[in-house]
Amino acid sequence: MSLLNIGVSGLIANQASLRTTGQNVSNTNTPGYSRQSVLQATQSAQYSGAGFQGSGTRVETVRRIVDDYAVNQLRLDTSNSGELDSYLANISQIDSLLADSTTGLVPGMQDFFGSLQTGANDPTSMPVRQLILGQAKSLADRFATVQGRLEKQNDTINRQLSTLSAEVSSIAGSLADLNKTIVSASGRGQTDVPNDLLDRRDELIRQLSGLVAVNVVDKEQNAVDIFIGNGQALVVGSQANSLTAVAGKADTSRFDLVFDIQGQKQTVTNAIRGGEIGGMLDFRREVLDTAMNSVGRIALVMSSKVNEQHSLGLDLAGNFGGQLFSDINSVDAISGRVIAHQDNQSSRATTLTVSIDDPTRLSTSDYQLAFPGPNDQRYVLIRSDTGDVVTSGVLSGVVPETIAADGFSVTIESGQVRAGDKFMLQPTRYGASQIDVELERPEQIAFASAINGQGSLSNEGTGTVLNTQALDISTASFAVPGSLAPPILIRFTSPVSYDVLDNTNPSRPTDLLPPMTGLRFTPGIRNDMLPAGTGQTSVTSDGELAGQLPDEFTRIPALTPVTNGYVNEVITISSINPVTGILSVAPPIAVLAGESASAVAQKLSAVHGVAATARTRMSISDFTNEADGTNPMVLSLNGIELVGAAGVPLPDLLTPNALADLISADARFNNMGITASSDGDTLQLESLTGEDLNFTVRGDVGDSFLLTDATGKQLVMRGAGGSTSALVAGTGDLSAGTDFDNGGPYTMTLSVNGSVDQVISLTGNQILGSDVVSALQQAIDTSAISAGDIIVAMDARGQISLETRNGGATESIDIIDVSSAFGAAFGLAPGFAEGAEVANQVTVGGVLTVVMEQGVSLASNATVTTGNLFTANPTALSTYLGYQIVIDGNPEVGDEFTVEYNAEGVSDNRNALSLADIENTKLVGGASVTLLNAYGGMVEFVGASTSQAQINAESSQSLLQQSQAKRDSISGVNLDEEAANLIRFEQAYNASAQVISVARSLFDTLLNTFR
Amino acid sequence: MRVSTVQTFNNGVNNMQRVSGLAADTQRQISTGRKFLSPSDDPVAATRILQLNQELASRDQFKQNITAVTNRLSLEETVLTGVTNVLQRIRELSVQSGAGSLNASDRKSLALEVKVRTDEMLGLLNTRDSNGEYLFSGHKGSVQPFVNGGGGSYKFVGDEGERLVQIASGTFIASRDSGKSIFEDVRAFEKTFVTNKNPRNTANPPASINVGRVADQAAFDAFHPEDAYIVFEPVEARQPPAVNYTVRRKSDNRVVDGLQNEAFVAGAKIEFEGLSVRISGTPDVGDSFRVESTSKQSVLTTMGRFAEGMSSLDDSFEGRAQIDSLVAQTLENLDNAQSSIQEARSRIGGRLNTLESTQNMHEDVELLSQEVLSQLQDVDFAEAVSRLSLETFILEASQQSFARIANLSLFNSL
Repeated sequence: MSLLNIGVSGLIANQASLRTTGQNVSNTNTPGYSRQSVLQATQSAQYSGAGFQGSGTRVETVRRIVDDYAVNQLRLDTSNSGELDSYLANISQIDSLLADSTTGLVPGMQDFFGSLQTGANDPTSMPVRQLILGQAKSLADRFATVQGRLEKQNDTINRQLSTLSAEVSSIAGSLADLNKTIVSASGRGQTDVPNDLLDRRDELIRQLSGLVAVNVVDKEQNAVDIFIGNGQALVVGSQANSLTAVAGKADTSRFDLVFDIQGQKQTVTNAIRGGEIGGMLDFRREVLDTAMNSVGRIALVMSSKVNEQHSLGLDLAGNFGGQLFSDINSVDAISGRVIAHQDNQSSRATTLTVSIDDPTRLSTSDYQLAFPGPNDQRYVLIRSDTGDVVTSGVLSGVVPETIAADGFSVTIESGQVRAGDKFMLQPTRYGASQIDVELERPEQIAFASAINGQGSLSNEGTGTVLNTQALDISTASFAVPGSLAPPILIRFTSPVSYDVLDNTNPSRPTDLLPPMTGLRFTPGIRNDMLPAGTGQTSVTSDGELAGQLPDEFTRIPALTPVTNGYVNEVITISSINPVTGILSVAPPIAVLAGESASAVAQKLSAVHGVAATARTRMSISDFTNEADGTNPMVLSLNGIELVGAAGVPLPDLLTPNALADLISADARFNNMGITASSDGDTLQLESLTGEDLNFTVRGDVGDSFLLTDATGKQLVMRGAGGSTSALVAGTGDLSAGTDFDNGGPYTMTLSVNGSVDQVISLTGNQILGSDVVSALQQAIDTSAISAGDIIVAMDARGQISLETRNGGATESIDIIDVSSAFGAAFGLAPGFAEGAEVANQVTVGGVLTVVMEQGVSLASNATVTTGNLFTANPTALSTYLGYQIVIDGNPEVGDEFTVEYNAEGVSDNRNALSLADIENTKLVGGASVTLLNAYGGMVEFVGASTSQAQINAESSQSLLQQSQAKRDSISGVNLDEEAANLIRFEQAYNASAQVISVARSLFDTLLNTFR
Repeated sequence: MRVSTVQTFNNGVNNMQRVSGLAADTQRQISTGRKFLSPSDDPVAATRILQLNQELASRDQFKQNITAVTNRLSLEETVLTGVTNVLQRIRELSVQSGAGSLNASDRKSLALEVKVRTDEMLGLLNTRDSNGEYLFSGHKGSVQPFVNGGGGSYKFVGDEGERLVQIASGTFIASRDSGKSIFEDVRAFEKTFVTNKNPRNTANPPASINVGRVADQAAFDAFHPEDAYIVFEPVEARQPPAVNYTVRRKSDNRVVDGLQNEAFVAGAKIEFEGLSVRISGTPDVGDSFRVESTSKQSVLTTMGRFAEGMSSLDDSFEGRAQIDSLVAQTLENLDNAQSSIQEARSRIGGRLNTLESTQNMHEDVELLSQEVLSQLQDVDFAEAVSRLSLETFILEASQQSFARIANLSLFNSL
């Protein structure tokens, strides 16, 4: 190889280096440019006898200086930084919105509740009332402003998502084109690469990673594939796919990102991470929805609680206050909380609504109601923020149907849902925009409490009414506008007990329904006088004999007591635990036959959740004393003869007034808890503890009085006639008759008052009970026993009795023998009955009132009305009146308190105080924080998130700077270096030129030699 | 390490931006006087500030409430002072009228003054405040509480409601007293009674019952504490049919003193159990009137009954004896009234003390809260200004050093 050629090769190579240096210098500031350098190598040497002789230099290639690691790191950091910057930019807007004194809610709420305090101070002042309306309006406006700003931010995000996804698609297109060009340019071999195209592609990928996190995979021929999300191929070789933003299918107000692969669409909103788009989505998911729901929840809780309290009060005109803010469950509001998924199979006629039942239990999450199949009825309610299943079950398919959870309930109002349907439920999302002021005139603000409790002026004790408060105006008590129905009277029956009575007629208070009598009062402390539990119920014994007269009195020897006729009965008390819902059953309570209501009440009261009281009442009137009677009429009550001091003439004593005074003055009755009163016509007897009342009457048949029980049933009670008689009674039930021709013989051998034994025999088919009586009577009368000596009778239970009616001193009946069939049918056995003094008796048992706490119920084993206290499943009536009165102090017997409608109570501020107290009551999030603290909590959450985002954005920024520096340090152009190179390559070029010059001069020398 | 030219510039610019950002923040703190402008600067302090501001606002409200209650109670106090003065004068008059030297006409002229004073008293008891609300009518602020029923009878038609006003969290204080507890709930020297008409009466115009009087104290004492009611029965109960009534005991509805189906004469005395009332007007069948025993007598009734007795009783021996007993009773009842009013005044005094101490407490706590608030949100100027000068110094330094570095280039030397 000639020196000339070597010189030329140096010249060419250095020229290339100089060009590359020039390229570097001129592209110093080109974004994404990587400095290039020329790779130079020696030409292959030639072997000459003296070894290998070099033959000059050549340019291998021009290469760019890049480090893949640094490039990748830069992409990653760009992506992170883009995400955190966009998150920070969005959250900063809310951050300053919420705590600002002009836009935040705190001053609005302070002003509103402050104005309520001023109102409580001065309830009749119109300017103050006007101020409250103004503050309420401005608070509603503030809620709307905050909500509006949050919604505007959502709109901005929707628009930005559209713009940015279009940018992603456009970059993807450019990358696909570049891939194509690079592949065709790189076709000739691995060493020569289109450096500038690669730089351009790297720069585009960096820009893309600022929008969304990307995954870059290298392929042969320098092509790359680009993936986003969880594996969506954005660019494959020369093929680009697109990303678009469209209104969400589950929630049209939220745009979703849709990835389009050749017309096949896929929603990828939840898969996209990183970059500006990822930051925006994170913000929307983590902050915006929570903020909107939190503000909405505060608005819902506040307006519903204010409304609830306001509607309990009375305005200046004495009418109920109604709603101050708009109804949270208005028709628009409940349907606006449900969004049907776009892909639902069910028809448009299928409508769902969400009503708020208990705003204090609301969460800030959205919910999804899904019907996963296999049939149309199965549903699952999922809480969106945690993904937990709140409730699931199977619908009946009959609309409307309601599913309740977390303080709200969703109702399928009409139509039919299908398997696969999904509904987005947003109970709190728009709460803040729905709040508005309903009241129009200041006098409509309800500051007064609906009812008023007062002590009577004639009270002797120190009992005072501390508070009277309406609790629920939907109860019957408030059904009549402008009045309390009925007004009540609380009358103390002792210093520790009281009755609650219907005071509609103040001259004659009557029992309430269900009755509330004998309630306990604890002197000296605050007593809630009325039932507090809304679920408390009361059952009153209403069996055939409970508190009622029997059909007939019993004629028996005077000292033999008859019972009240109550039969054996088993009462079962079961209760449902209000927390766990588990049913538990108390050990059954056995009521013994003839047991007094008082004793039963004690047994029942021993059961947890049950308070039973008993009371027996009876009226006696129409006393008739036979003028020419032979036997004096004597009335005994519970075994105590009602006669005055010795020598009191009976006709004077047998008047209601005299008997009432007698009973009232007798300590024995007092000890039994029996009281008597008389209005001159009727004697009222009452046992406050539910003891039996037994009446025994002796005297002529013409002596009588009328008994009337609490139900109005009456019985004329008569004297027993003769003073003594003998009586036997069977135990068999013959009320349905019997056939004496069948299974006989029916014979009885009888001796009356010592007469000769007589055989009585019965024949014939006696169809009715009365036929049996007359057949037996006839058989006896036709025997040698004198007609009328024996009277045959049948009592209510179908039992046959034989009785002598001579009134002699030595009456007797001797049953000497009965045939086995007779004995079996009549339930009679041989025996001797001696005459004894007789009287007519009636025993009346008491009425039980069983008050049961929520979830407690009572059942009886009674099957028919045969003297049982309760029917099998007695109806329980609610004892809840819808209001409460609190009394303390030491009332005395006869002290009275009334509760009435608070008409004309214009100066009353009790409801205003209750309204103002809402500010300080823990109402939000399961009643754990106050309204303002709930708002404060949200401000803190957003503030902390913002501050976190700031720190993250700063650190990601510095990481980005570091990786940018790393990349620049490797690939960036250094002008000093290039200047040095310029000199270096220029010198080498000059030297190579010199080599050519030397070669020429060598050649000249050689030529001159031959010249 | 290799440094590219772009890097040199980027480094310089980034640093200057960071430092000037810090300086701008500090400058903003100094110019607003606040440590931070958005909650993210210190989320915990931001929430605390919200709470403190709320607390300050509600204390402000409480202080306003205290001022309003103080004004109202002072007005009540003034009225009660007036009432006490009237009572004092009545007391003098009753002592004077007990003197044996006075004859009937002297007493009549005394009775005239008592009547005038009673009217004055009625006016005081029906005082309204600046809003037009009656001071002593309980919740029924627009209802005149004390009404002259004629014939020496006065009725209280308000209720016993008291108005509570919140003066501190959890502390409520009554800003109004019901006239019932002060002027009606006064223990009487002798047992007495009040009359009422049943609000469900249907007669139109309604028939009315007067305040009545105890004619025979011993007989009435025996009846006490029983109540009675007078009910109008169907006209057929009498032959020939006529408006008639029956008097019954309230507890058991027993006819009192045999007054059953008595013929009714409007305005005529109805006497039973030692007391005497009159019903005027035309009652419907079923209308009823209550007579409730009590051991209390209102201030106005005491004065009314005294004036009535002074002007009607004569100089006979019997009349004199009745005057003596009337004067004794009146003095006793006036003393009871005086002590009831005294009690009310001391209650008001107690409340005013509470108001004052609560006000002081609010001011102390407010000062403290302001201080905490200031610590939380106000900027420490000394610290901020020196920080600013440090930051500007750093900024200047980085600017100068950047200018130096940027000027260096090998090309300059080529």
